[in-house]
Amino acid sequence: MKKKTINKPVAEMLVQGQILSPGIAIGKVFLLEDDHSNPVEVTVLPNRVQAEIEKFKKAVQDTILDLQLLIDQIGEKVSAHKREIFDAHLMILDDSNIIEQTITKIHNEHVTAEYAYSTVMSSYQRTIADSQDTYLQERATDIRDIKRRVIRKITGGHLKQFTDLTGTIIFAKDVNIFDVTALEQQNAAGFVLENVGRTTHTAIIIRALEIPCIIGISKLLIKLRQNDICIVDGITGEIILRPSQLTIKKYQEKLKNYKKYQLQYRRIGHLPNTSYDGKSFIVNANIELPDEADIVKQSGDFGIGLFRTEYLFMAANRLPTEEEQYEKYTEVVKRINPYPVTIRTLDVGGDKTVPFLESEKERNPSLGWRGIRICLDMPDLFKKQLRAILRASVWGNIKIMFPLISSPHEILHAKNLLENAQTELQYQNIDFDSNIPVGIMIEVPSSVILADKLAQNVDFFSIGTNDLIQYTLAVDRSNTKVSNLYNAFHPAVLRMIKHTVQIARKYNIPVGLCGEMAGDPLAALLLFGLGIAEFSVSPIMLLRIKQILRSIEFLEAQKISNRCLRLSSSEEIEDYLHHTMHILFPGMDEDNYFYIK
Amino acid sequence: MTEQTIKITNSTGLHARPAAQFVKVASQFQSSVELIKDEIVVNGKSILGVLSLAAERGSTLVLRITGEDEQKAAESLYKLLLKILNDEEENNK
Repeated sequence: MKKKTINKPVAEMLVQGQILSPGIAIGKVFLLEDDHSNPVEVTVLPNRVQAEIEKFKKAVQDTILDLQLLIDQIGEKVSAHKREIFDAHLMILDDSNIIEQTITKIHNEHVTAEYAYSTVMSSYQRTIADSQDTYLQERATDIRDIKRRVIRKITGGHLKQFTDLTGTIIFAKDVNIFDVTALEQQNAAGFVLENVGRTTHTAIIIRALEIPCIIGISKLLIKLRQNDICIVDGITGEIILRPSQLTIKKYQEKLKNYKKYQLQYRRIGHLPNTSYDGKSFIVNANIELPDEADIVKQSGDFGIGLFRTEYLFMAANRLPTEEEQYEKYTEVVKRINPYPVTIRTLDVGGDKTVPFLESEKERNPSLGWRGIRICLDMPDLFKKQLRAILRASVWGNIKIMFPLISSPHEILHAKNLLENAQTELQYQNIDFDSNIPVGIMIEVPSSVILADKLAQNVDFFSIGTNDLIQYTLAVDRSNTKVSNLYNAFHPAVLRMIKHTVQIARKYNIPVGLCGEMAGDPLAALLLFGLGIAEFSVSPIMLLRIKQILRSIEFLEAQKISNRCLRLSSSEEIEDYLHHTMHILFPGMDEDNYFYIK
Repeated sequence: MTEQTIKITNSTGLHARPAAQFVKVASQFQSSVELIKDEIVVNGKSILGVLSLAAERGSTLVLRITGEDEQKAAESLYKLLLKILNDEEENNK
């Protein structure tokens, strides 16, 4: 999966960020100014006090009206569920405490409305931002945004007015919910933001509006000039500044294809999951955030093959409660029903650290305290999650999956704790699905070799290639000195997959694949031929993979995979697969596989 | 005036969503509603007031209500607080 390197002119600059919302945009840079406004203390004459108070009240009322207008405008583009986000803003605007305190301050201290409001709001903002609790910290962002908005209303004239922004890409440190909606109304093509939390209200709205957005860039803004041309690739997470004519042309083509395929794909989403010669398959999505379920649903009839639950635990500086977990799981399950949702129990450790788990610094974290090992050592934490999952199971079709299993003993231990949770719920008369399927990730070589022993204790396997490749090849992908040795097409990896499939078949349990490899179009044929019938991929790849599987013949795929198994190096295998793809999908060049690296 | 004391036993305390729920109900009454923790008094009808109290596990809250419909308000708000603050604890028994 090597990428061709092209010699680019010096002026072109490529920056890697993180994808917040997928898609592609080409356009002109529009720098959104950072509007930090901290009014200074200015006193007014006693006879002006009443006028200041009136000005303040009017500004609050006007902002409420603005917000209601925005809610109306955005209305049909986002679900009712998302619109509730604006309720929090309305409640803060309308907060009687804030209004009274501001009026009292103007009245007693003879200060300007903007200064009084700013002081009152800032003190709440600080208290809440200091709370060490991410949920509350994000409310501090809401307070800040509202504060700025109202101050702009009071001082007048500084309200940002956006005119037609078709073909522009908005660059900003941060952007508030008011501006996102206003910018979208003016057809902004994409966003590049320095620091916006993935779970903030702004982030949720950007995703709901389906505007391509990349985050996590730093020190980029100072290098920009208004109206520079730039490209946002919300599929690879890259931003290309001042692209050459050649690059622009390439991306115009990509954009065209992306749009075309998207249209075509909308149709594919609801078509049967069978190959050209009638062999069934399943394509599911991997998600991390509950609101990603919307993208899955919009794509068609898809389930979720991997719901990572780590984010729930990494977001806050405390453990999420059973209740909070139950709410998030239920939200996803209800939306995806009747299709299944496979929830993977907490999989932290290794490269994913959690603030509340005071684990010691390990010399070799990927071989350390991680995955199921942590959960088995912390039965209370594990039980809470299992109870939340079980309780959510009444709302749809849930499966439970344990990560990093390396021996039958771990399965028995985990299932034992699951049974305890079930007994507890029964005793409390709380409903749950008593036939909930229990499966494991196959991602450690020992689990492949012992697959027969494991298969007897579980209802399904899901191969996690990201870790399986790292452990099989003994390569840390993040270490640049050896990362070139990390290769999904390594013959040893293929044999691992093949063996797992054979054992699963023998014990009559389904086996899926949920690593990045499942979403690589180049691997689709090979995996299907190896006997993988369940692919769990990132939501943007759902339709792509489904389309490929629908248009090939299973018998052909089997021949291809048999040939691959006989080859002895990943280079040969990749070359052969590229060659085959060209023959089977003539119009599709390497870039159109979807830019997987 | 009525005063009731409530011990917070769940692990999240009175956080974002329950706080909004509390404020919405409190605002339906004429009486003034106050929450007191460690001598800090906040207006129970103010979302930011309640959030800034950031009541944490193990702390004790006082619910003070003054006004014409204080009896009715006290009854429903106390019930609501018990439900919000002890929900999880009951589930875990």
